[in-house]
Amino acid sequence: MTASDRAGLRDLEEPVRLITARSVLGALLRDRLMLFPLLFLVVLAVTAIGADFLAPHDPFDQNLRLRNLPPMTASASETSKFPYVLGADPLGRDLLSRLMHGARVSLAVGLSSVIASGTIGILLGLVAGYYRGWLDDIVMRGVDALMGIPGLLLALFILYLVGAGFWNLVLVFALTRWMIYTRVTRGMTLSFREQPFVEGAQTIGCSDSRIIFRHILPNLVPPILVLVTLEIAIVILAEAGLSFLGLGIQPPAPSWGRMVATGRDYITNAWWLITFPGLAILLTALTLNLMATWLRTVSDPTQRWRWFTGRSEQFHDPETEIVVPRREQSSRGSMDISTSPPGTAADVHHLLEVIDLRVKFRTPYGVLNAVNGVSYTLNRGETLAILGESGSGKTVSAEAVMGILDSPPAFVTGGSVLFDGVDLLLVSQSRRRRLCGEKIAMIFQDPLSALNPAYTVGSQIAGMFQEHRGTSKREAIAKAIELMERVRIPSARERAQDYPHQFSGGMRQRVMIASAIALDPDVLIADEPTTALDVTVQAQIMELLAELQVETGMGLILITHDLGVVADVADYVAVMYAGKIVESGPIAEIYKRPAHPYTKGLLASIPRADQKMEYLQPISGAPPNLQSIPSGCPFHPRCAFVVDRCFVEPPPLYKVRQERSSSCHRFEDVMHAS
Amino acid sequence: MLADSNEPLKPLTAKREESSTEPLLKVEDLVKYYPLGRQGFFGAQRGAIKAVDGVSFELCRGETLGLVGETGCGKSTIARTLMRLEEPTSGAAYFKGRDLFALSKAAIQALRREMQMIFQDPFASLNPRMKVGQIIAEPWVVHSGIVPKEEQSQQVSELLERVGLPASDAYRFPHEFSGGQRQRIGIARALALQPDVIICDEPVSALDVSVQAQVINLLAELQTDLGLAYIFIAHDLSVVRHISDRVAVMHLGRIVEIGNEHEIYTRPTHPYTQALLSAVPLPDPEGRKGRNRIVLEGEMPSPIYPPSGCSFRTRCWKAESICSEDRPQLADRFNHGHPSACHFAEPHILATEKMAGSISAQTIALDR
Ligand SMILES: Nc1ncnc2c1ncn2[C@@H]1O[C@H](COP(=O)(O)OP(=O)(O)O)[C@@H](O)[C@H]1O
Ligand code: SF4
Ligand code: SF4
Ligand SMILES: [Mg+2]
Repeated sequence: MTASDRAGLRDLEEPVRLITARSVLGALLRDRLMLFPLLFLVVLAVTAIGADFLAPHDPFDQNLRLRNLPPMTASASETSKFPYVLGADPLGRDLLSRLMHGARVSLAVGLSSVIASGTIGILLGLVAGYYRGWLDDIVMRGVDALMGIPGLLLALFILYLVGAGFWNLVLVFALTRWMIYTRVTRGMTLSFREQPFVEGAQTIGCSDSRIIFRHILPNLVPPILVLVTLEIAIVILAEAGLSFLGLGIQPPAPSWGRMVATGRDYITNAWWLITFPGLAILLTALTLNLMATWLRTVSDPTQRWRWFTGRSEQFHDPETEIVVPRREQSSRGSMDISTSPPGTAADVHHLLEVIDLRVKFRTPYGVLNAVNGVSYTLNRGETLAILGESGSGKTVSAEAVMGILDSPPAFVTGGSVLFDGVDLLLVSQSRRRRLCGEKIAMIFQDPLSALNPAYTVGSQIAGMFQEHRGTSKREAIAKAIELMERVRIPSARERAQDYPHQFSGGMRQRVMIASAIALDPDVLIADEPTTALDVTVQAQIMELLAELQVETGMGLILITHDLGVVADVADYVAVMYAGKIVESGPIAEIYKRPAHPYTKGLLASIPRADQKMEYLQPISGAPPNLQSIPSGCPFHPRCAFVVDRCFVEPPPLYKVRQERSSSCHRFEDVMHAS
Repeated sequence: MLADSNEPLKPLTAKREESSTEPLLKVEDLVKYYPLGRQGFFGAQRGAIKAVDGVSFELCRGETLGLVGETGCGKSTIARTLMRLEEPTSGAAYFKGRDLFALSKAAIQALRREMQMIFQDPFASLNPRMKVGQIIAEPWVVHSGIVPKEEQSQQVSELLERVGLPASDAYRFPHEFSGGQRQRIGIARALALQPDVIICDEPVSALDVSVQAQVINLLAELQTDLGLAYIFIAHDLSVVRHISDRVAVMHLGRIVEIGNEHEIYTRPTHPYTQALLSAVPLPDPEGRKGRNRIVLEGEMPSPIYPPSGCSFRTRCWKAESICSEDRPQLADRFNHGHPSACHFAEPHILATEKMAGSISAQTIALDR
């Protein structure tokens, strides 16, 4: 473990470890959207708590001379020197003071009810989700039953039985709202209890209650907080609704709901009576809703940094503004630098030639340099393996060749893809789509997501003929069955009627292959076709691909991270690292004498099934984060051959010898090192 | 929790007491069926997935037993039942002479100290809400009295350094780490209780190729230093060969061949082992022309309706009628010290006409 091991990967989500008053304040000042709701809530809380001291008038002090006094009417009351800023109600009580005291009542109802219903609901949800079985059955029956009854009806019924009043209201809300929490909590508990970290807690001997409260509950906090904030708003509104019916907080106690209810009767001659309490309810509900989204972010340690660093707001990158899939390169490098790797002299006509392909992703948190200059060539009947770890850009570069990248977020920012001499990046979209379905085909690691679950596999393969060749349906189906036989799917005729999910992983991959070769493509790109499969099935699929290649003479691009699979089938290999091809050439030569430290390191670090190795020589560190690829040679933090110039000078693709190239300043030393 | 289980930790580098001849763990005829669908009243059950169907093996102190086989053959289920994450359907497992499955809940808790597990998915196996230090120290909170509170942060630092992470990482959250680093944290937590056995379920399969060797080497190093025994589950036969002393090959809930690493990899006698081994791709482009490969036809049978007799017979090129009638017993037929369950077990595959008809390539080079 070296220091460089850690240097590379931490900067993506560099956390804010010290949450100080200063950092909170700074973030708040940046995020105005949250500053105002927070301030509003603080004011509201202070008002509610300190209403006794802050209110200018006694909220119960009636003064019939001031009945329905309009706002801002300066009035010298005999009891107070303060004006009636918001006017007075039908009994001549100061509206502002009642509003302030009402805040206390309404918030108290909201908070108490949410605490009561939340506690019941969350506990039941945790227990039901964790223990499952009959406990879960009972709880969920209760939830379903209560959800079936309109909440208001139930509330009315209970209030009819127990009578109105503060605590009875809380009781009503507890009884009618707990299911909301239970449903959410139970669902999430069910999924969390299957998580390996919960099983890990079990294996170290944690008790059930420790697992529930220490491991599961903290993970539910963000969604529960969101729920709680929304529920407070709902309860305040519901109390207003009940007050309308005379079942809320009883007079003379001021609650916002009560005040709205009273104001309604005077709506034509004293608008302020309903407007101000209504506004208070509206603003509070709105504020709480805003808070909900914000709380979700800051209560989650994996997300919190986003708010504190304000990165989501501030991200702006001039680089991806230039989105030019145009060819403006003649900068093919200097003399002894080869840009046309495996394959040959540049004037030969290749089946597929990819030159200096570049792809960036524009994400909310920065630009991802996924492909940074990839070049290779492929000829008829050849197998080129693209070897690289996850995230090295293999799939993205293949999808760019196929023209199936989603843009945005992906942008091809340079390079060309010559197929039969035509630059695919320059032809029209429709021509490209036709070429890429027919002449270049692709299969994926996960065939299930590439196949349409709603259609039988037979009709999906047949669709290729119908769409591209205008074949009749019957004939297309016959051809599909023929293809399925060709990829050796047993009882093809019957299985053509089956849906993708009815096939095993290996058979599904055969279906994918059948549909890919349907139109006799010249190039087949296979992206990790066997990674999800067992070795036994992997061997079947690789054998099938090899046979098909011999039969059809197509060029095969095999994308994989498995050095063994590459060695078994490839003629040429291109090794990718951090979005670049770092080494390429004929497979046997590269395995025998790698010219790049990364290839060399990989070969020395993998165990083999055919010999017992004493010691694996690992590569230190981890692959880089594509948002901040190291300067100079991207491999330098992990390289055993690193020298000073590697830190600053990006190595070009040096021509090592005929057909071989390496992007390492020291390729000669690497090749001659033992 | 048993009182006697809470003796304080020995220093991390201390070797365990000398190994006796008695195996540390002895599993006898372990069976785990997952019933299908809801169990109604009498007889309403619709059969079961026979995930593990009679597995026996032993594990000695300080050794690594590799468990290989295709997806769904029951490897993980064995790990989970041994860790008591699942209840076994039947069978016994003796750990230091005590039957794991007969223990009371309290005794199981005490036993957790001695058997730990490392999970496959480094991203899901650490609680995202706990700091690394809390994660590693949690075992000491649960089993009070092992490491006193005031020494815990010191011990956490030592463990972190032991697995190759700086002590300051204790204050970070798991999401700040890469896959390989998280797997190190998982290893540190497993070490916190100084177990005798660690069950590793695919511990490196989710890691980047260039990082796998780091973790494999760490596991090997810890084994030498601390005298740990591993049950190492993986589908990658190359990794298993590298790390294992003995290897058990599983097929459809049963062990079909078991023996020391050298025997299994150079003289496999069960056709399934032979097929598996010949299918492993080797990083040897020059040798590929000379390799003869057995490519099995067909697919793994369903564990709900395993074939009668030998469960491999539907894919086996040597199958005869006896194979469907009589289940072959795990027996050492050649005195190689490694038993296999095949009526026609033989250390070489001989090319026969029958085989030529059913498989694509016929021979396997022994001792390549
Ligand atoms: N909780 C479960 N419920 C039902 N079937 C399961 C469950 N867990 C595993 N299985 C089944 O048990 C069999 C063995 O699974 P597993 O032990 O995970 O095998 P492996 O580790 O070799 O992949 C598979 O058929 C799998 O689908
Ligand atoms: S250029 Fe330098 S850092 Fe990069 S691979 Fe070569 S020696 Fe290593
Ligand atoms: S018992 Fe028969 S079917 Fe089973 S592996 Fe041996 S030869 Fe094949
Ligand atoms: Mg498994």
